[in-house]
Amino acid sequence: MDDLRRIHYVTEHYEQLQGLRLLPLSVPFLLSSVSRLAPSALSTMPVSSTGRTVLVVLALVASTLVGRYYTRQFGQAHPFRWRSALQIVAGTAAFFALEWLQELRPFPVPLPVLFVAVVLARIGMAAGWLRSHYLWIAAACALFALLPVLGVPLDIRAAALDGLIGGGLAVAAIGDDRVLRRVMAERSAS
Amino acid sequence: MKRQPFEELSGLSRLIHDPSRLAILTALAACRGADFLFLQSLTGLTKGNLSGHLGKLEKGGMIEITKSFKGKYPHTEIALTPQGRDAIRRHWKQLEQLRRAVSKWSPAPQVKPA
Repeated sequence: MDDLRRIHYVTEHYEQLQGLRLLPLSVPFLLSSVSRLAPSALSTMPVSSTGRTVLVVLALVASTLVGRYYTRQFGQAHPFRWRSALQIVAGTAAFFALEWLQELRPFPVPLPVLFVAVVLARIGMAAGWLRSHYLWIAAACALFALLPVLGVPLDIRAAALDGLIGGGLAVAAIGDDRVLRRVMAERSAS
Repeated sequence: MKRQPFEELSGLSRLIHDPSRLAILTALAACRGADFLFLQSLTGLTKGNLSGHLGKLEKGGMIEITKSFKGKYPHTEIALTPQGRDAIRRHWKQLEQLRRAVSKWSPAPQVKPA
């Protein structure tokens, strides 16, 4: 039954598991984080707002090309779009509701970040801990949510947020790619 | 009278219960459709074996196969029919019922060899 559950999960989340598509998107955030922490180190790199936009556009192009690579390597599965759209709409609505609540009554920890941590932890526990690397990202989010309580200055928190997004995308990218390859290889070997 | 687990087992469809075909149908139940290469990568079957299983499933009315060309290359799309979707759901339900029934059985006492 576990095997069937994995097959079902991998097919249902095939596009999400094409992890390397996320990897180029992590670069602008990681560069931004480094430039905030050590501005002199990246003085020659294009991390201004225009430079960042160019990097994001390049990352999106690279992401599309990586997607084509996955299609050539493992084929195509067409997901039920309405399911993922519904989840995204519900998640975004909950995120902004918490953001509004946070502004209405300031809590010591940012509720939207904690919400993201819970969602990521849930992904990490799905299908028999198949994507357990998401637990690390969830833990990093929870740690980030504690920074205001620990009295960390705002500029450091801004750099940490960029680092968290960039690092999180990189960990998710590599982890998801490994999961996809492992499941496909396991089936091929059996 | 309530059916016993062994009777449930005999009621499982052999067309669906074959491990390879069960894997194919499980994958197809999780999406609108998939191409031949995806099913081959996921199941680890050879082209010939996968074609054989797909042929049986198509004959049984579980799936529909659409063949086309993408540029110069042939492309095969496979999707569950409504009948196939119902059948795989019923099959999982039966498997789950069996699993529950079997989990209630106490293990047989071990006999030490003389």
